[in-house]
Amino acid sequence: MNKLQHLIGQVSDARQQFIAAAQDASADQASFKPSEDS
Amino acid sequence: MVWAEQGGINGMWKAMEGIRSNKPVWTDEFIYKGLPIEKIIELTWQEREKVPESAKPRWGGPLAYWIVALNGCQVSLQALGNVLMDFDCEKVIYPHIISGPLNVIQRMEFLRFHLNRHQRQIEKIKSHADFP
Repeated sequence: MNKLQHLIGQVSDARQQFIAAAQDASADQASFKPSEDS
Repeated sequence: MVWAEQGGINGMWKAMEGIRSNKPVWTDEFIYKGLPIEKIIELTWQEREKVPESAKPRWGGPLAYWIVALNGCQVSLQALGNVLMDFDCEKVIYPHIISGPLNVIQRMEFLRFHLNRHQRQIEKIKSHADFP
């Protein structure tokens, strides 16, 4: 695998990890914003 | 996240076409040659970097839609990767709105960095005492 394909694979992995962290959020959770000082 | 990734892919594609047509997007000195994206971020970002106006989310809509849209970025990215195989990725350069000129290698690293960064932010928010 060349360097470019390796990097594209890393992006794909990072995307799936991001999705795994975000996808189960409810509407309330998705719009939650902690206050600036907390 | 979707616009950020598609914007990056679009920029790399424009830079590649610029080289192909002998009208490169970036003709100034390439100041970050050989640097990993983490080092470039360290040099160019503030500690709490604000989202550029052009990158702020505008559409809204359900999370499920954005998950599908984000998953779809892989199709564009892989198609770009297939076309880029005929190019020297170190020399295909498209400027980032904050950091300045990044070549394709650094752009790909940035996509990974950006996703990781926002994943960490989500994890932090989920651990907040007031998280619903």
